Amino acid sequence: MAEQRANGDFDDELLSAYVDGELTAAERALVEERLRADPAAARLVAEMRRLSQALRALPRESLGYDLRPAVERATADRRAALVQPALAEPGPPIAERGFKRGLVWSSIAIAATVMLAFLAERESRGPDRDVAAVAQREREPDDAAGRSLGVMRPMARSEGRAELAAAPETSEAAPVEDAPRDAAAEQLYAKGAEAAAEPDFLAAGLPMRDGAAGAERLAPLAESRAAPMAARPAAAPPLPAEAAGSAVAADSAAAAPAEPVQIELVTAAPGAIERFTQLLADQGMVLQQQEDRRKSEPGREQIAATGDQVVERGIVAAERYWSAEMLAERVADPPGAVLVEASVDEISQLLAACENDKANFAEVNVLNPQETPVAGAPLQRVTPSPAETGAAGQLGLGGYAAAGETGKKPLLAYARRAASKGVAAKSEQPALGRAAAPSGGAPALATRPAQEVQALFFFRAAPAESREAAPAK
Amino acid sequence: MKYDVSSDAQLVEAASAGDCSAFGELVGRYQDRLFNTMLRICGSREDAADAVQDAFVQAFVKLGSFRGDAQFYTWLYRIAMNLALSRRRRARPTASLETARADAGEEAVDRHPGPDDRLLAREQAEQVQSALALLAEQHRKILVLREIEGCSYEVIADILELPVGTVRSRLFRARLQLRERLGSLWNEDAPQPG
Repeated sequence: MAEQRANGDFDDELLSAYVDGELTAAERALVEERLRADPAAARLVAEMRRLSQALRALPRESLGYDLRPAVERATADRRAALVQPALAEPGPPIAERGFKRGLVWSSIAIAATVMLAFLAERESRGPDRDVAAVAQREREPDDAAGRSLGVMRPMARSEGRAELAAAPETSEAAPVEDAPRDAAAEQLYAKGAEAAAEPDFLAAGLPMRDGAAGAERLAPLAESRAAPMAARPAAAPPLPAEAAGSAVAADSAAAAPAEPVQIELVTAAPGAIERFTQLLADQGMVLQQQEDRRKSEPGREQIAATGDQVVERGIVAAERYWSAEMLAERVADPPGAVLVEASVDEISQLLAACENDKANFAEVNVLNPQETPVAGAPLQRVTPSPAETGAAGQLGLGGYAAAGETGKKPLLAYARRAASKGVAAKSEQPALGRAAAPSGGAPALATRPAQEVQALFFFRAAPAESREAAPAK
Repeated sequence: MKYDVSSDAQLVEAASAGDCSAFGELVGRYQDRLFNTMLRICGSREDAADAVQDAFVQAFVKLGSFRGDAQFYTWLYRIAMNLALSRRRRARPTASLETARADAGEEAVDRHPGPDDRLLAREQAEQVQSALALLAEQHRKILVLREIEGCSYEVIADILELPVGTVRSRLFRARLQLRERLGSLWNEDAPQPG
C-alpha cells in the first residue's frame, strides 16, 4: 500500500530508514516534510514503529546452559591439532587421540583404501609406496625428488604400533583378513604437522602392502558410530584394503593427496543435498565460494585427472560462506560434486553420518579413482558391488559422464576447513583458494593442518526402486 | 557492540595462538545473546542452540581466517546466520508459539506490570513470533538483526554481506511483510490498520 502511494520522487524506503534513524540530515528533512503533508506516510511510519516495538518487546531468552563444554568437545580434535605440533607430546595424549581417532577412522578406511588403490598404481614408479610421498610428488613436479626422500623413523613406527595395540578389536567389520599390522600410519598422523615440515619424514616409505591393518584394526572401534558402513563388507575393496594402514599416511603427511577420494552419494530424498551441507556444517566445514572463477581454480587439475567432466566450473573457494541455499543452487542439478578438504577422520565422520542417514542417502559409494583412466570411461564402483545393491548398483563417475555428456557439467562445490592455527593460518589465508592446487599451492599447503585430504562427493538420485530397497538395509 | 572490541580481539588472538580458555571466554560472552537472536530466526530453542553451538565450532575452526579489522561478533553472527539457514531448511519450525511461551517468565516487557497486561504481552509476543516465522528467511533475518539485535544498517550489511542500500530496502520490505502478517491480528486492537 505504502509503496503504491509513493510518488515517483519519494521512496518509501526512506520512511523505514527514518524509523531506524538511518537517514542523512537531508533525507530526514525530506521525510519530515513528507510526513506533514501525507497522512498515509505518517500512518505507515507509526505502523513501522509499532512493529519495531513489538519485535523489541519479544522476551529475551537465554540458552539456559553453558555451551563451552560442548564447543570444547566439538573442537577437541582441532585443538589437539593446534597444540600437537607445538608441544609435540608423544605420550598419553597421542594414545588418547589415537583411540579417539580410531573411532572414526574405520569408516574412512574404505575411502582411504580406495585412495591407496589409486596410489598403488603409482607405486610401480618406485620404492616409495608412501602416500605422503606420492602427494609430495604431486606438489613437486620433479618426481625424483619424491622418490629420493628418506626412510621411516623406527621410533615413530613402534610408537604407533603400541598405540594401536591398545585398541580393542572386534573385527567383524574389517574388510580384510587379519594381516600383519603396521601402525606407522597412526604415528604419521600424530606427527602429521611435523611431517609436513620434514621432507624425510614425508617420504617415510611406509610399506603399503603391510600397512593394511591400521584401518582394519581401527575399523571396529567405530562400530557404534559408523555401524551401517561397517556392516557392509563389500564396502572395502580387497586390493587396496591391504594398504589401508598406509592410507592414513595420507591423512598425516599429505596435505594435498594426489587425487581426491571419490564418493558417490545416492540421494534418497529431495532434501539430501541440504542434509549433506548440514552434515558438512556439523563437521565444522563450510562451503566456500570463490568469486573469481578462474580456469586455473585450485584443484582443477586434480579433478581433471579423475574425470574432467567435473571441472568445468572449477572448484570454488574463498573466504565467503556459502549458504545452504547457494550450495543447493549449485549442486541441485545432478550430477553435482562437492570437494571436501578435511582430515581423514572428518571425512570419515561425514561418511558415517551419510551412511547412518538412510532416509536421505540410499547409498554411500566410494568410487575407485584407479578405475578412471580416461574421462568418460565407466568407473568401477568399489563398494558396494552392483550385485549387492541390486538395481541401485550402477553408475559411477563414468555413469555421470555418460548421462551428462558434455552439455551437463557437474557443478563443483568446495568445502574445507580454514586453517585454525594462529601463525600458520595467517599466512595461509591469502592462499586459501589455492591450497588444493597441485602446483603453486605448496607454500600454503605447508602451513595447513597436515592431515588434510580431499574427498569428492557426487550426488545421484536413487532410482525409485532402490529408494525403497535401500533404507530397508 | 556492548563489549570491548579490543578485548574480543585479544581473546581471538589468544585463541588463535592455542589458548582454549580464551575462546571459551568468547563463547561465554556471546552464547546467550546469540542464542536469543538465533531463536527468533530458527523458531525453536533446539535449532537455535544447535545453530549457536555450530557457529562457535565453526568460528573456532575458522579463527585463522578472522580478520582483526572486523568485530568478532559480526563475524560470529555471519557464521551463525548461515548455519541458521541450513538448519531451518532442514526442518521448518512450527513451534514458534511454543517458543514464545517457553520463557514467558523472562519477558522484557516492563511496561506491563499487571497480570492481564503480562498475558497480553505474551499473546502479542506469540503473535509476533508466529508472524516472524512466516516471513521469508531474508526478511526475518534482517528484522531480527535490526530489532532484536539492534544492529545498525552498516553492521547488518557486514553480517549479511549486503550493500547498505540493500539492507535499507530489504528492511523496508520485511516490515511491510510483517505488517501484512500481523495486520489482521492487530486489526481488532490497532487504532489504525493500514
